[in-house]
Amino acid sequence: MSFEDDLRITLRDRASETMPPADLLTETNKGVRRDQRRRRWLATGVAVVAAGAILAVPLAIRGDGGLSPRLPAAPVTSLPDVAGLGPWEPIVTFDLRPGWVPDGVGPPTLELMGPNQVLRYEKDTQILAAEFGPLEPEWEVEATAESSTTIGDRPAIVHTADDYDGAAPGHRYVAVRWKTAEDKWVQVTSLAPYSEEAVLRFARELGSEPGVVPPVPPTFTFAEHMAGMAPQYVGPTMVCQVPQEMSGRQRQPEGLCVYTLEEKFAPGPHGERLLIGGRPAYLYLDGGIFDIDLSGGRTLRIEWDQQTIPLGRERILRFAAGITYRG
Amino acid sequence: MLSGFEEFVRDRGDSLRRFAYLICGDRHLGEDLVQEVLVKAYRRWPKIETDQPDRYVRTAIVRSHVSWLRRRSSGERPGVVPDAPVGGDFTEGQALRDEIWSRLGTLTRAQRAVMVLRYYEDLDDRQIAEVLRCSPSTVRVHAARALARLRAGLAQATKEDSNP
Repeated sequence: MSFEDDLRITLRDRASETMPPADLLTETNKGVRRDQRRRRWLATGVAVVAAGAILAVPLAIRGDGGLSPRLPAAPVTSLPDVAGLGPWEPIVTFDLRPGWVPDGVGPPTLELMGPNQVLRYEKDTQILAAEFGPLEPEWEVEATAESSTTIGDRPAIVHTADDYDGAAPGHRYVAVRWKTAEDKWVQVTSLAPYSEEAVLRFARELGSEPGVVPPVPPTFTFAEHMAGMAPQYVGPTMVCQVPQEMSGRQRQPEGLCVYTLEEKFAPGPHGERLLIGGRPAYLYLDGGIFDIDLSGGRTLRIEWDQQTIPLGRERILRFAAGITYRG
Repeated sequence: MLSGFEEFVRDRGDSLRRFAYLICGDRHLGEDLVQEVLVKAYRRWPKIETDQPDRYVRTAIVRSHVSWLRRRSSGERPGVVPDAPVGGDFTEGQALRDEIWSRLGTLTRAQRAVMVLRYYEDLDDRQIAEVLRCSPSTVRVHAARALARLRAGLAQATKEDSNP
């Protein structure tokens, strides 16, 4: 028997070993949901223009003859876990006001990613973003080259790639990351036609203007704070909250999230169909999904993990009823 | 989740986990790699589904594992022998294959991928070159070096066994 035969048998033996059980489908499904939330960071923001409240949901909820036709209990006037904290308007500022921006950037939007602040300029498929905060940002794109530079007197790393997933012709990836003297991370990411020099100039002039980038009117507002919850992600098309003990530990959206999908309302097979504010809705409590039909091929989704944020039916209905969406 | 995708994960998931295990040499890394690749595949599923999804995902597993950025971020280096040998009947043949498995951990990721694609997947050099996005001659270089390294390692181990 040749060495190559032994190698072949070795690989086949190893591949045929008993594998520990793994629920790949469930784990992949969770990953897909995380990925969808995360990609919204890279692919949303432009379409959001305040156009009046299109969803201000009153407490008028009834069963709609879905798979689970039970009617909800009469609306309660107050719930101990949500009442008394007043309305919540999630707003964000950005502490490093830019002194220079390249020509042709899109309108600015602001985001909160965990404890980090993000300033994004987005137009069509091009993005220029700056992130600032205590958590180390992610590179987002696989680089083909890496180099060193300085931003002020701080050492910085530059990542570049001439191509990336979904790149438009002429667009390239440039990112630069450094740590401030106050031990906070700053990263500038460009998925746009801008040169490395332009991106570095933008990076070097961050914070050179006094003051902060002021907040923009929020897309989502909430009638009531949920007690024990803290903002985790705030962006133009999504807002997430987590229990206070989970706050500040991760950048990517997690927890109880409210966002819009550019997808036609499509109730799944497992949950309950409702009408909420006169709009068709679908609640799948065990799966942590509450979809509301915004019509026009759009859906408002409330999503959470029942294991970390156990929410009863009444509580999630009450929360949904307090959402106002301008988009 | 798209039903075709769900069906694919159910049908092919176990096989993909095994393949990723061979490519990584570590079960946990392999599991992470398969999940990561499947999540990315989901984004393009309508396109992938009609064109050999299994091949697409296997190729993505190899490319993702071999990519230099992932190598840097995971903090690993070739030369690590991560998994313990298989227990059980320790015949001479089994001992040899355990040694080969351990020595696979001393190869670079690209070399290891070539070994798995050639001797487990039975791909020819041209097909391996497509997966790794390199030329067939580069594949041959990887293969020659990998085999030489494995043989040298085994010879060394045999020598140490006979002269403890």
